[in-house]
Amino acid sequence: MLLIDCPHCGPRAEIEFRHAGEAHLVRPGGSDESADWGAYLYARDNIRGRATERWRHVHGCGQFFNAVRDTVSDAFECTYPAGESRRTGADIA
Amino acid sequence: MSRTPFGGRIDRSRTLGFTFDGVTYTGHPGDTLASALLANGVHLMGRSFKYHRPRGVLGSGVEEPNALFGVTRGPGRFEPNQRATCVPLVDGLVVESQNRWPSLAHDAGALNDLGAAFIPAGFYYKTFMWPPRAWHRLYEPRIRAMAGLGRPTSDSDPDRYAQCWAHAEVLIIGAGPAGLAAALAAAAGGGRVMLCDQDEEMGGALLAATDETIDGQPAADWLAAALATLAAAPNVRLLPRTTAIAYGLHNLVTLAERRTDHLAAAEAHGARERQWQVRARRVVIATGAIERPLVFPNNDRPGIMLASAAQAYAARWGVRVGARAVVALDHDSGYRAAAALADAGVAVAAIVDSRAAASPALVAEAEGRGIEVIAGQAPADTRGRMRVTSLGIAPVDGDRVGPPTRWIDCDAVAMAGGWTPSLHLFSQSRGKPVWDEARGCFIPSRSVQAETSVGACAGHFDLAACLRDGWAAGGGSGAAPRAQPRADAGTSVARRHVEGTRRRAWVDFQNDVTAKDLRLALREGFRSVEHIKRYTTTGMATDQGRTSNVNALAIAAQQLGVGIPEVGLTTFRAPFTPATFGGFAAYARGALFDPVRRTPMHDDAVAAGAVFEDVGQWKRARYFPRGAEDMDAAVARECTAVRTAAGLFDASTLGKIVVAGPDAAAFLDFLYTNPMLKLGVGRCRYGVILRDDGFIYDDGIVARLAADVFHVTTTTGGAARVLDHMEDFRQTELPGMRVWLTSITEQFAVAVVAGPRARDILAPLVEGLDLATAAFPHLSVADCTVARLPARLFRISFSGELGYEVNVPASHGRALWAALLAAGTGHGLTPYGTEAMHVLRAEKGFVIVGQDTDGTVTPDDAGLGWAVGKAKADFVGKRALLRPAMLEPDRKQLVGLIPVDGTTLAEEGAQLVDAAAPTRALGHVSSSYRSAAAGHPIALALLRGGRARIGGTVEVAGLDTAANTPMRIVAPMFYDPDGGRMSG
Amino acid sequence: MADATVAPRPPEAQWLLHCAPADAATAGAALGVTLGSAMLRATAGADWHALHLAPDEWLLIGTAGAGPGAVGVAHALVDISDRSLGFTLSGRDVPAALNAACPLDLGDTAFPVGTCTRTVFGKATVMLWRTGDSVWRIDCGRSFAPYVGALLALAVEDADA
Repeated sequence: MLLIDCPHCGPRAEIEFRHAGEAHLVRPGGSDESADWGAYLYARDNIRGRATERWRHVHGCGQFFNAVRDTVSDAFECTYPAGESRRTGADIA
Repeated sequence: MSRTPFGGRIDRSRTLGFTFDGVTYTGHPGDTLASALLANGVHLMGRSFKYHRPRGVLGSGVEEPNALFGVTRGPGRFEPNQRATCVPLVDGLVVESQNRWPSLAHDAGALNDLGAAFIPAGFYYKTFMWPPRAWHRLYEPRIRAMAGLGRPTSDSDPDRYAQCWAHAEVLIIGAGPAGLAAALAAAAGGGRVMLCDQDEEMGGALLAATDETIDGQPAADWLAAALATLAAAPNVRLLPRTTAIAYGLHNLVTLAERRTDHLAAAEAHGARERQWQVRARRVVIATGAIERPLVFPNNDRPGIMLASAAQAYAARWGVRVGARAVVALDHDSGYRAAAALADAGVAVAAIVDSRAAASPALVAEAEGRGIEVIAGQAPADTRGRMRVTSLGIAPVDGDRVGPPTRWIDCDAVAMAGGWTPSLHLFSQSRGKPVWDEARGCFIPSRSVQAETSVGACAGHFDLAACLRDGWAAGGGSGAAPRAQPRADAGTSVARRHVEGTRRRAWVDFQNDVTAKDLRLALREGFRSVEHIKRYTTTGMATDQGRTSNVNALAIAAQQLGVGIPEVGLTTFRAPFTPATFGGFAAYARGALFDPVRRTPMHDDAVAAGAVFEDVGQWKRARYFPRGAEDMDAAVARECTAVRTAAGLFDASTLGKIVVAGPDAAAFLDFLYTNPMLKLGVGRCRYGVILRDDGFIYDDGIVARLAADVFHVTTTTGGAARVLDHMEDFRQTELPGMRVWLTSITEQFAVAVVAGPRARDILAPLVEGLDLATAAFPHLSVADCTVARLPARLFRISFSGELGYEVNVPASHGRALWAALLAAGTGHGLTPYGTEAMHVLRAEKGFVIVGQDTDGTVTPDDAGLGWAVGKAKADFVGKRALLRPAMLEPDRKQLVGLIPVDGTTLAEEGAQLVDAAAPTRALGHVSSSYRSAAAGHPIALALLRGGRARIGGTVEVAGLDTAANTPMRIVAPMFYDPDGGRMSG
Repeated sequence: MADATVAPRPPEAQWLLHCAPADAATAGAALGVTLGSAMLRATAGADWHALHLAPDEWLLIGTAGAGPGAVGVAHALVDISDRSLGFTLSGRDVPAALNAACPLDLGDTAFPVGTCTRTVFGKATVMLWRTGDSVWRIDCGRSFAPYVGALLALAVEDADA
């Protein structure tokens, strides 16, 4: 079971959280049907390796936040509040 | 008797009785089942899995493949496949042998052994193929009858199991010399230290120590002092009888603590086991090593065992494993075992050292004890059926051993084939084992998690090195405990595999896999070690190849002409040793399997004789039968009461959320398809929630309590996910909005009063509000008092009748219920359940999300296109509704169905077909009920292009051979189509 | 026997306050309790305890029947006095009992007196608050109380070893 560092509450067991899919998806503006909307709904990177994902501390502070996790080793590089810009390797180093 | 006159760690002052296959024996506290049986001279302990060969005990711990028993500790407390080496002896223990018929000594299955040439590896895969039909009827039942080890009990488990979480700065797994040194060092560091060990006693190899000394004390004395020190340290938790069964992510280690199996029934209190989930900042793995047997023909006879086991039986349990033993070795540690046997009074007939040049010091020491050392020779065969009677040996020639050239009479053979570090937990921590040619074993490589492997599991087989290694890993400062280096701690030699005859030499004792089987698999083209494992079954079942893996790899490497690392290791999976289901289930059984949620008025429903149904975790009253009524009769009566007088319904389980803040209206306008900005204060609106994919996610009522405060309801099952969905948009898409969400599902008890008499019943109880339609019309909300209770009153209807929903603080729920029932006396107020509620709403064509929708239904599909605010710039799901597939006229749409014959009730979930093309599914029946109001059965259905087909017919497909039912397609509205009853 | 006792809590006023973190100090001044403090800490004012459970959320706990006055900033303030039921737990072995079904580190370093948080207890979401050295309270949704109470009873039984 993962140990997830909630940006607000600190490290907690995975059972307090709910995974919430890929992070930094941008909900397209506008009001017409277009290809970008289909991609927003259904296209996901499903990265092997360093993935950016969303979690919600649903049985804690209730906050959504983002995390960088290696999907092979399951090691978290970092977690950060929703709304902050995507973390790159350089930010973390 | 095979018990030594003194020595060992057993309590000879007390005697315990036990029975094995009906025969009574005795032993002492401290004994295992295995040591007690050996002390009674019992070597025949089981039959092998496939050939039913007589087998004795091979090991002395978790590695044991042969001595498996059914163990009974009292009524319902039967467990099969218990390793005799791991069963602590308690008074009154009842054990039985397995895999034999009619008895252990006379086993009919042993005929398999005579036909062994005809059942090689893969036999079942190759043989039982034709005719195909025979598999089902003949082969599989027969094979199933023969297969498997032991039978589980069908009684329910009378024991209780506990579970707990723990956190530690250092978790040390294994309390042998390395683990103890680590614990002593870590304890001094002050952090929380946990030390667990799977054995009945802590000490590991020190429990079978002979003449070792640590810090100048005999090993046993040092051990006692070390354990006393640790027990006295407030920051240390000692967990004996506790196996680390799994090493998970982020240093979460699962421990299985056995709390009562070592106690007699009268002393056993509380949970039988406790499963620990330990999150450790650092883990020290000190799990030791397991000795390897030698592979030679007929190496599986009772009396042939690991040298370390023979030594442990002598030194720890005071048991002589035979009167006359031969020690066969290709590792120096066998010399120590020989000395221990000799010290215990076993005549050691010879030491057979397969290596040409044995260590002169060790040879001299052995010869000093009068033991003959035969170097450069190896075991070549054995004799004896129920017990070994002699060992044949022959000179080693390269990597081959010929037929026996000399026979040595003996009743025990101790095999010292070198050591296999227990890398299971290291491997589960995602570390990669690497082959160490010098030591002849796999050892841990780089740590992946915050873990350190120490001692024998890291390839250090010398006591002094183990102590140093553990001390350093525990963060010890100052001098580590010191032991005298020994000559017989030599490194293990990677064994050239010697096997010279055509007779069978066992590699995996438990699964009856021989060297020949492995070679056959390789000849047939299997190369991957994972494939070889599954084809031959080597390394499977309860012992998971603890004694066989490396020997099997050596044979494969030899045959393939490659090195052992190229063959590779199979994956080590959790659990390390078999674990009880009870430990995993722990508290989650019976009434605590899952929370059972009851509404504030639950007891009133019970008193009224309600029949309940499960809706998620909730118990909801389904119907209230009177007298001998069945469900149909009760539901018909309840529906009629609502249509003609009034009904009372407990709607407390509906999800309820307060949406508040200056931007609350704008937020809801974005979350619902409906326009919400202009909803007036004191007014309600039915709302639909989509996901961004355009499909219906939930529905409910949105009520505006104040300009910036809304009370919204969700379906019972949708309460949590709707809140999650709203929070997602609030926090991540609309973070600038000043709006907040508060779940109030459990704050309120909710009673629905519905029916033409509803106002008459309610009005006398209400203060502060005029219920007349002009003052409080359909879709209104207001705070008031009802029966002197603070209440939030809605005028809404899910039944099609005049309806009110009374919300009061949950602690007042029963008072409200009682007041309403009293007020309803004389008005025909009738409690009704969820079943009647379903019928009433279906008569009105109101959908239930999750029943009439399934995650692929748009508002238009469900006939809710009117609820979509098309003028809104954006709302969740809006753009998806414009996608071409969402606009196709042939989508499945909600329609009503009426049986053409006027009587047949359609099956919910049944497929819809056209009579002309009955194989093409056009949709399905989503709701179906008998309707007293309509006078015939009614159904709601999702039908391809349904709205355009209204007026036509479709058939409900019958299951299997049942006939199809023709249905008339109608608009989904069976009662009061213009809605005058609920708004009037 | 484990040194841990469980007692149901009497009713009290509970209100859930949400507001922007930047407005917390102002809201706190109006309510007479410090709100801007660290996450997962409880503060005490004249009428209210304020438990900081999320960046923009405070649980106000006061005597039964009380209601907070005007807050003065954009906010949401909802009466949830009947939403949950609670238990008081007392004794040295309370952390061990709670850890039967709660994964948190409840040691003095990780969970000092005054810490409060939502977490899980078995299959229920709960609010846990350490009010004293050996005194804790656990609150859960009203309908989860029978489950939490029964699980606590077993947990206490198992907390002694």
